[in-house]
Amino acid sequence: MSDKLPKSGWMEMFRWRMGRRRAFRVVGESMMPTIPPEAVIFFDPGAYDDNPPQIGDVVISRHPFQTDVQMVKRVAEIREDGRYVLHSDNPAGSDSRGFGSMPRGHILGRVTSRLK
Amino acid sequence: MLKEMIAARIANGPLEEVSAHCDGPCGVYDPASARIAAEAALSMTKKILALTPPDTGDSAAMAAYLNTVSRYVTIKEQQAHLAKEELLVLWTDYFKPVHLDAYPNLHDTFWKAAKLCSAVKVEVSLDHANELMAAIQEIHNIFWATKSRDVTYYTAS
Repeated sequence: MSDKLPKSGWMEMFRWRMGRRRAFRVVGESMMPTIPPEAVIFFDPGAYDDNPPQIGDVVISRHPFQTDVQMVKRVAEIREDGRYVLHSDNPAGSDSRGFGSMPRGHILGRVTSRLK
Repeated sequence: MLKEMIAARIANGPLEEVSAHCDGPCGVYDPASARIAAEAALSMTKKILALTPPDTGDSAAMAAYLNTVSRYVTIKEQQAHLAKEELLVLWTDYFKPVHLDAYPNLHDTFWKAAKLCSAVKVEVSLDHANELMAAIQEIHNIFWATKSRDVTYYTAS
């Protein structure tokens, strides 16, 4: 699965200005080709306040063991126990196949668009 | 135009970083490690084949000869085994099902390369050692193609 991220438009920049989006610079190539290294993405921290993450969503998640690391991945599977399996788009990157599934609480929000 | 300027201003400002790095295990793979080991095994194969036994009457020369042969054989076996390990790691850890779609012969290529490592280890075969190098070159080409990178194959010797 590697659905493209929409390019950020006026509304996204407006939402960012209003504090409803956060901007991140992506480091690394595990989300290639969807998100190349050094891309700037907008992220909606409130995306999952009412609805849970869906399969195919590009999300920002806490790292399961490195508490100061946030990572961008794609939801590949939602387990029966409610845990989420995240994958890299780049088949060479590592992902939940490397570190197991993670609880919903680790998923911080949805990546909504790509600015650069 | 204005939109691009604002976008560039946001993008060039101080931003938090989010990791799209590989997780540890670090995900650093390169068929070069297998190539170096296979090349060492090839080199030792050549050296063993180039040895000439001394006269049987010269016990000191015979001892030196046997010592040299056994050292060359030990290194050849170690390096051939190392080449196999490096290939197996690449095969089972780096390559994923999506790669099989693009390279349907991937499993066969690795299986034959691993078999060649065994042959190079057990035998003193220049042919098999060269075939192993060719197999690793093929794996090099597949590997870097999956990363969309044009990396020239080379050997140390």
